[in-house]
Amino acid sequence: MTFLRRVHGPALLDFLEFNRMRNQMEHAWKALRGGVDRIRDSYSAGVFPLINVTEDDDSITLTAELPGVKVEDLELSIKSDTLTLKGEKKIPERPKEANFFRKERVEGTFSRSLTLPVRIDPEKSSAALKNGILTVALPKSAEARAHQVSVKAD
Amino acid sequence: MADTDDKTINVQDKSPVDTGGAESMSGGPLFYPPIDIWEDEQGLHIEAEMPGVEASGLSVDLKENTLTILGKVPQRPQEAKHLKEEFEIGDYYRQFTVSDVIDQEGITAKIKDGVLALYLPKQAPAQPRKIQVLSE
Repeated sequence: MTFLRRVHGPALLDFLEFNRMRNQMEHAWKALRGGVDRIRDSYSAGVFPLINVTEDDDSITLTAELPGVKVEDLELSIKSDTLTLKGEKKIPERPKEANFFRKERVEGTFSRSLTLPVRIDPEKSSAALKNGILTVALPKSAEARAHQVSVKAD
Repeated sequence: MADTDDKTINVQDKSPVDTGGAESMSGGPLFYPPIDIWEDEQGLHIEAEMPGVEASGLSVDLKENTLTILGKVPQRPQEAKHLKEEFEIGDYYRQFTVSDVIDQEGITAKIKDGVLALYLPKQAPAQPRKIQVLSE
């Protein structure tokens, strides 16, 4: 087995990342061939940030991974049935003399809108950003909840 | 694309770890966190994006020049119905080989807003010994 070794620059680090790169290529190849294990919405949406949305009887919950994003750089708005998430992901400036071995983190602006499946109560909605994860709790409006009819078996 | 400027972030899928068929430690998926590594005069800086990981779930281990980063994400209950599932939740893992030039005692790790910042200082170079030449 051959490990990747740096041939230029000071040999402070060499990376055992051969598997990772191979795996990424395999992953991309599978995706191209449509062989992904699960058809996920991300392939159709393709907009940052990726989101998960869950629903229970009383509310809709949205989560997004936003590592390194500060609360003050995040803007969340709800207008009728549309939720908009806007912001900027910033990476602190690095010293000019920094010599990069890897640069995989990305920064930039983002904006994503989502049509909510049910009426929610904007007044009671809340959002929290913790450990780089945004969680938005959207309680359903009284009308939306009233429309649910539970059927019980005898 | 009229409404996109060049500062807009392109979406990146998480990169799953190839465990070579082995069971992962938590039962859930395992991902390679995106990282930046750079070097300056003082040492090496590693930053890894591991959203959901708290200090208590993080382990940074250095054994025989192999640096292993493992970030555990608290498992969340999965009772609710999914309307949209664009990303999976799982732990993070990455491994590097570090040279002897690193002062292993001086390594520091911090995690904030889901970003791990590791600092690996270079060893101070051996102080040149000055030999006084005496003239008679």
